[in-house]
Amino acid sequence: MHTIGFAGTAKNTGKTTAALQVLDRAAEAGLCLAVTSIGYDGEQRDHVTGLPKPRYALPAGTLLATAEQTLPVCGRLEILETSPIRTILGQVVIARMTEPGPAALAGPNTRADIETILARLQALGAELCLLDGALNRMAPMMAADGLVLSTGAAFDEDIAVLAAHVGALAELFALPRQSPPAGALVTQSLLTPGSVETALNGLLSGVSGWVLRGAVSPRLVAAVLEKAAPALQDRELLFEDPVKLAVSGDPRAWARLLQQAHAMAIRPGLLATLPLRLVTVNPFYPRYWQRDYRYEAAYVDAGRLLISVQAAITSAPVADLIASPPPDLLKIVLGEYNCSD
Amino acid sequence: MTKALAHVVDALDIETFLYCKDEDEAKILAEALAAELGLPHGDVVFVEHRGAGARVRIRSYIHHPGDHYRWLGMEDGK
Amino acid sequence: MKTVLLAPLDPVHDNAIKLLKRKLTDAGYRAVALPPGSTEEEVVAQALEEHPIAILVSRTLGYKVAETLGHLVDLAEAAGLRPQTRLGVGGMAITRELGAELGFDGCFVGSLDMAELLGFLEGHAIAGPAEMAQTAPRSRPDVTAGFTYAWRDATIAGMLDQITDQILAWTAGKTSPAIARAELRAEMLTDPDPDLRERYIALCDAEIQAFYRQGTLPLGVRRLEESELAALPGATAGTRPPFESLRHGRQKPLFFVQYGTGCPIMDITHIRLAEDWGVDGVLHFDPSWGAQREGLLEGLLTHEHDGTIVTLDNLRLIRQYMNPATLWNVRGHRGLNTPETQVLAQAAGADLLKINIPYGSTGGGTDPARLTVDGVHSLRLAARYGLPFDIPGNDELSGVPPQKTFAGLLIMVMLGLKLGARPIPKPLLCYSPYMTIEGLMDADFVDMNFAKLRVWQEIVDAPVWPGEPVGFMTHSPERVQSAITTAAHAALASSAGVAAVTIASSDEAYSKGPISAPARVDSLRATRELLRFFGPADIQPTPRAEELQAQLHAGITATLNAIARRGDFVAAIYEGLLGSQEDGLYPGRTGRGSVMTAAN
Repeated sequence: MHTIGFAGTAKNTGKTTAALQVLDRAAEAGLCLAVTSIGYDGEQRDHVTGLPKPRYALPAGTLLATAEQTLPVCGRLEILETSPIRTILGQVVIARMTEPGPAALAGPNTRADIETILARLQALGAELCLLDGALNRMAPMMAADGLVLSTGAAFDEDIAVLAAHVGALAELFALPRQSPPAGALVTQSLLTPGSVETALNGLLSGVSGWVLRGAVSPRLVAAVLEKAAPALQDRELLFEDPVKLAVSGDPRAWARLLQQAHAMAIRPGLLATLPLRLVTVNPFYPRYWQRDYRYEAAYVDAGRLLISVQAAITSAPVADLIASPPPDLLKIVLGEYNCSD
Repeated sequence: MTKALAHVVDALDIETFLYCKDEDEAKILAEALAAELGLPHGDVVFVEHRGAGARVRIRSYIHHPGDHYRWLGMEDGK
Repeated sequence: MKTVLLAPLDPVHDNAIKLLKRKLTDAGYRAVALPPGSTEEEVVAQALEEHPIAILVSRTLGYKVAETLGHLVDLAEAAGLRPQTRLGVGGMAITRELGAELGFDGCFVGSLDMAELLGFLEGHAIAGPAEMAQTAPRSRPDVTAGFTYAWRDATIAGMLDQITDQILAWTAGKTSPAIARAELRAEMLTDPDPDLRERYIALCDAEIQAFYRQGTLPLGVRRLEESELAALPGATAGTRPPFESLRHGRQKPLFFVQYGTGCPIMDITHIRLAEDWGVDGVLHFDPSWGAQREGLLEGLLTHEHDGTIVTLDNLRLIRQYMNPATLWNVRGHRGLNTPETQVLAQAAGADLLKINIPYGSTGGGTDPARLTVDGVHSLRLAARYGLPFDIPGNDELSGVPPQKTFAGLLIMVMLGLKLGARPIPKPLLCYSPYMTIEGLMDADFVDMNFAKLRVWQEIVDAPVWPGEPVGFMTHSPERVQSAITTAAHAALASSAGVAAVTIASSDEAYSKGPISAPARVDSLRATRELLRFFGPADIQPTPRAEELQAQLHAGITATLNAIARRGDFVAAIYEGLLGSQEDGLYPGRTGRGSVMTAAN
C-alpha cells in the first residue's frame, strides 16, 4: 500500500483540495482507497475567518479511519473495526463507505498511532492511503511513503517570501540519505544551552560524525558548528529525517546553516528520507476588513506565484491544481517520475 | 437602502432563539438570517446553545464611524 | 510528585495559567508555569528537562494562533515527548474540533472543570460534577417538605378555624355540574362505558356538546396533525445539557416558570428550553375561555391564543416530553371546571395543583358560591391524591390591599389543612395599584416585599412561594429592564428564604403576542447572574420593613375578624370583605345559580 501525506505550510494553503484531486484520479484508476487524517477535517467554515472550507466526498468502497464522533456527519458506511486509539473526538474506527458520500476525518495524531492504523488499512485491502494533514502540522507525516506539500498566499502574501520559504523547505527533503558512521556522536534533541554544551564536549573529544535525533534548533546547531566545525570537517552531520528539521526550525534558517556546513566541508544528510513528490501553490488568502471586522477571500497573482515557486524548487514538480492541474497527477504523487522528467 | 434603515444611528441587532443542533450551526444560521433579511455583514455578537437551540444576538452595522451618516441627511453612507 | 507544565503561549496574558497552577497545586501536583510569551521551543525544552506527565496550553484563538499551537504539538512529537507527556489545550474560542485538528490529546472547552482535567492528567475519565449530575437521576423535590403547618398566631388560627368550619358546613350537601363531571371523568379514565360519556356531555355547555356530538371545534382551535406529532420525537432527540440549577450555592428556592402558548408543541419547546436553562418546575396556564364553559374538550388541540387548552391528551403529551425531574403544576383555580381539572392533572402526572376560592371567585370571574363548592371538592381531591396545592394571591393586581389577599390565602391554607391537603400560599411580590396609590414602594421594592414574606413566618410554618410571577407590574416591554427586575425580585425572594419562586420572561409586559423563547432565556440568564453575584450574601431590608410587617399582620387580623363575625364566607366575598369594589374587585358571575343540592 502506498501512503501519501498531504501537508500545508499554513491553514488554507490547499492541502485538502490537493488530496481531493488525487482521490478523484485514484478512484478513476480503480485503486482501492483509504483516507485518514492526522487532525480533523470536517468543518464547514474556518474557525477564525468564517470562510467556507472544502469537504471530503468519498466514493463507495473507500476505507476511512476516523473518530467515532465524526460518524454522524459521514455518509452511509459500515464500521469494520474499532481501534484502541483514542482522540479528543473519541475512539478511531475503521469503516468502509457503502455509498458515495461526505466524510469528516479525525484520525490519530501521532506517528506511532498512524502507523498502527495504516497497517490495518493495508490488511483490509487498501492500495493507496491518503493521509490528510492539519494546519501546518507535519510531525506524523514520516509514516507516509511520499509527501505532497501545499503552500500559498495564506502562509504569506509576499510571493518572494513564500517562495523562499518553500524553496528552503524543499531542500530539506532533498538531503541525501546516509547511514550513521560508527563512532558518531549521537545527540537526542538540541533545544537547550545545556545540550549545546554536552554536544560541544562530545564533538571536541573526537568523533567520526554527528547524529542529531529528535527536535533540533538550527540556531543551536549553528552555535555548535561555530566552535566545533573543524571536528566535523569531511565528516557527516546527520539529522533524523526532513520532517524533524521542518518542525524544529524555519527552513530558511536551515538553508543558511546547510550552506555554512557545505562551506565548512561538512556533509549534511538524513537517517531517513520522505520523498517530496509534489508542491502545490494556492493564490488564496483571507483578507481582513477592519471596517466590518470580518474576512474575505482574496488572491495574489496566480501566474507569478507559480513561476516564483517553480524557480525556487528544483527537486520536485510544482503545480497550481486549480489553474492547471497536471493530467498525470496520480503518477506524480506515486513517484512514477523523476523530477527531471 | 430603505428610508427607515437610514435612521439607524449605527447598529441593528437581532435578538432571537434559533432551533439548531449546536453552536456551529447557530452561527451559520445567524449569519444567514442577516443575509436573508438583506442586512449587511451580520456578525454573531452572542450565542449560547443549550439543548434544542441557541440564544443569539446578531449585529449588523448600518453606519460606521467615519461614514457620511444618512440620518444626518448625508447622501452616501460610505 | 507528578509534574504538569503550564504554558500560556500568549505574549501578555497568563491569568488562566495562574489559576490552573493554584488548582493543580491544591490537587497535589507540581505545577510549573512558564511566563507569558514563552516560545514553543522554550516549552518543549523545559519539558525535556522536567519530564511532565502533561503540558497544558492556554491561548485565545486568533489569526495564526492555531499554527503556533500546531507547531508546539509537532515539536513535542519531534522531541520524543509523546506519549509519555500528554498535551492539553484550552482557551477562548478553542473547540474540541480545533483541538483535534491541532493534534492535542485533550481539549477543555468552556469554564474549568477540575474533575475533567484531573481525569485527563491521570489518563482516565473521572466523572465531574456536571457528568455526575447528568447520570445521577434528579429527584422531584417536595415543596412542602420540612414544614409543620403549626400555627404561630393563635388568634388568627382561631378565626380561621371558625371561618373554615362555616365553609365546610355551608358546602355540605351541595354540588355542581363541575363536580358531577369530575366524578364522571374520573370513572371515564378507566371505564370506556359510553353511558358515562353521554352523561358527561349532558352536563356540558352547548358549545362543548357540539364538540362531542358534531366534532365542532371552537373558533381558532384545531387538532394537532399526525405529521406534527411524528416530528416531535426527532425534534426532541439528542443529548440534553447537564442540569445547572439557577441557585448559586443555595438549596432553595426552587424556580418555576409559567407556560401556555396555546400550542402543546410550542409549550414543549419552551419547557425544554426552560429546563435547559435551569428551572426546577413549570406551571400550565389554560385559556380563560375554557374556564367560562361547562365542560372540557378532549384530544390533542392547539390554538394561537393565550393559554393551552386543558385536555388529558394535551397534558399527557406535555408531560411526556418534560424532564422527569421537572416539577409540574396545572392551573385550575377558577372557572367552571376546577374539580375536573384536578382529576385530569393528577391523571396526567402533575405534582402540584392550584386552587384559590377568593381570587378565583373575584378576579378569576367565577361566581363565589359556585367556586366555593367546587373549590372545597377540589381540595378534597388534592388530599385524596396527596398532591400539594398552591394558592395564588393575584387579587392584589386588581388593587386589593395585601392584608385582604393574605386573609384569603390563609383561609385557603386552613381549609386545605382541615381536608388533609398540603397548601402553599403564594403572596405576590408586585408593584400593585394599592402599593402605587399608598406610596408603599416609592422608596424601594425591598421593604414591602420583605414584610409580605416575613409576615407569613409570624403566622404559620408553611412553605411560601411568591408568584406568578414575582415582580408583577414592575416589568416594562424593554428587555434589559424586564430581565433585571425579575432577577432582583428572585434574589430578594431567595434572601427571604422562600421555598419556591415563579419568575417571568422579559416579555412579561408585552401583551400583543405569546411569550417568546429568547425572552425566557433573557430572564433566566439575568436571574442566574444576579444569584451568582450575591452568592451566600443576602439582601436586607431597612427597619421600615418591620413596621410594614406589623401593619400587615394587624390588617390580616382585622380582615379575618370581619369575615369571622360575618359568619358567611360566600356572603363575605360578595360584600367585598376580601376585596371590595373600591379595591377594584368584583364578585365573579360565571356559573351563578349553578350550585345544586346533592342527590341523596
